Amino acid sequence: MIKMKGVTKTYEQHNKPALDNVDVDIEKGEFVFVVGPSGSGKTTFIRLLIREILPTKGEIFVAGQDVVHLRLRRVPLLRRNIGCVFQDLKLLPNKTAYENVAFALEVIGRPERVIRSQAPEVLKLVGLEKKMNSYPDELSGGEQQRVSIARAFVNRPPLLLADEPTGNLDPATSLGLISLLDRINRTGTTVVVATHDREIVDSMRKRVVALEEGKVVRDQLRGVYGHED
Amino acid sequence: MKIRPFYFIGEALASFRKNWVMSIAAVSTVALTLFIIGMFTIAAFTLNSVIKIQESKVEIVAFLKDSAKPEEVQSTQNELISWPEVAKVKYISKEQALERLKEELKGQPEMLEAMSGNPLPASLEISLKDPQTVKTLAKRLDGRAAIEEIKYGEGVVEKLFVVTKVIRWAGVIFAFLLCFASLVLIVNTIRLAIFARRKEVAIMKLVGASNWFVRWPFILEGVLQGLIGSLLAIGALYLIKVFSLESVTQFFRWLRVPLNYPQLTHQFYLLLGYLILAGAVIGALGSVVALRRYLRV
Repeated sequence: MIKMKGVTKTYEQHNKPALDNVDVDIEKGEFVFVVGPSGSGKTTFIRLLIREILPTKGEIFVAGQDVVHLRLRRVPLLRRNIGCVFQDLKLLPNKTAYENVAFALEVIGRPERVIRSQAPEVLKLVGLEKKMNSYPDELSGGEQQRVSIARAFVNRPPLLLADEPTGNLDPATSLGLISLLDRINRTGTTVVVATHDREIVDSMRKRVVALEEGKVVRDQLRGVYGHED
Repeated sequence: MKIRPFYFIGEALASFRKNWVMSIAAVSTVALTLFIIGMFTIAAFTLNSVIKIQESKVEIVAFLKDSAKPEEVQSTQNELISWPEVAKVKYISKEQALERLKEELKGQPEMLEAMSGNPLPASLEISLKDPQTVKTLAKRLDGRAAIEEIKYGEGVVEKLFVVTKVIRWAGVIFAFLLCFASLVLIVNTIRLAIFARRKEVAIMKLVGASNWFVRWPFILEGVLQGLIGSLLAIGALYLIKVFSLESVTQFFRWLRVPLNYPQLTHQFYLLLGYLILAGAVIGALGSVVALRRYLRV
């Protein structure tokens, strides 16, 4: 599903690369945690996959597409195959929870009839059936987080990326969210979660890719967050 | 991807409503600038018709020799009529000339008494299709056997044409500057409105929207803003025409300039049509131009 070969990303005006010669292979249907402290390159990892940014060096394949050499007009098609829960959520402030989720379906040209049945269904799955008509600023952090997951998942993409989905949530809510992602994974969706939340990583015992200063320092099946540091 | 006009129209209407502060800014900018352009155009039309009327007063008067034979006069007159530049030739006999003079000197009968017989020559009054040709025609006419002297207001006519030329060019240049300034103003307002929503645009792109999917609602919103703005502008112009243009033309009557009402009315409605079109087109193009930068996500 995801293949990174020798990927290096150096941002302009930085001399140290955010990602440094990274090789990662993620198979279809896997559940992977990308872990590491702040600034270790987790978000860069995610942004590269949806081609928000391009690598300085290396090759990236996502769902069979050559991301680096993808033509600009094909970029929307790539993104429609990837559900993404952004670190800053990126909910549309002028749209209600329902409209935010529906938007992901509008974009791929689903007919109104399908949208009207699918969007509420997914919102129900994340437990927001009573908040469908609330605007993002009327929702709590955890609720916004769940709208974001619902939007990422509503068109059943083969790949779901989540960047710090449990950031600033309390532990109980965090575990609820992760088990939601786990359930989505069981439907066959490949799930990649970037996080520095030790507790959830340790509780799930999934594959762990650990980043440190832009380098992959550990890639372990059924892993844990790692040593105390 | 299927084109979904109703979805796009719905999105445009919704965001027009939800971003109402920016909508009002854009609408009022369009309304004000188009109103000013409209007022200027009306003023320019009016001024132009005043100029035209002044210019049309230019004519050539050929005074005839008292000794000229009627056939000679007739053949000169026929020749003149055959010239393409000539609109009308009117023969004024000695008697008619005297009548006119009497009319003009009504208040001073002593002037007429001092006159013995009829010293006034007969003449041909030649009006032209294009007043600018007056000088060349006068030259061409010179030297006919029947003609004693040719007058066309030498010196004065040239000055009049210089003045009207300056006024016309100044009008064109000013109109151009005005349109340019309006365009910049409107596009900048739309740019601000879209800048305020740049994150929204980026989010749409990141969830997989194509450029056109993002663009259409913005374009329709721009058209809507442009249409409402131009409708406000033409509404104001119409009220001004109805309630005050009449009194303005009354004012010009003092200058003894008969204004051409039906033509002016026709041009007025044409102007209103162009303003609506301009509003819609500027709204749409402004949105496309302003969006360009933020679509690069």
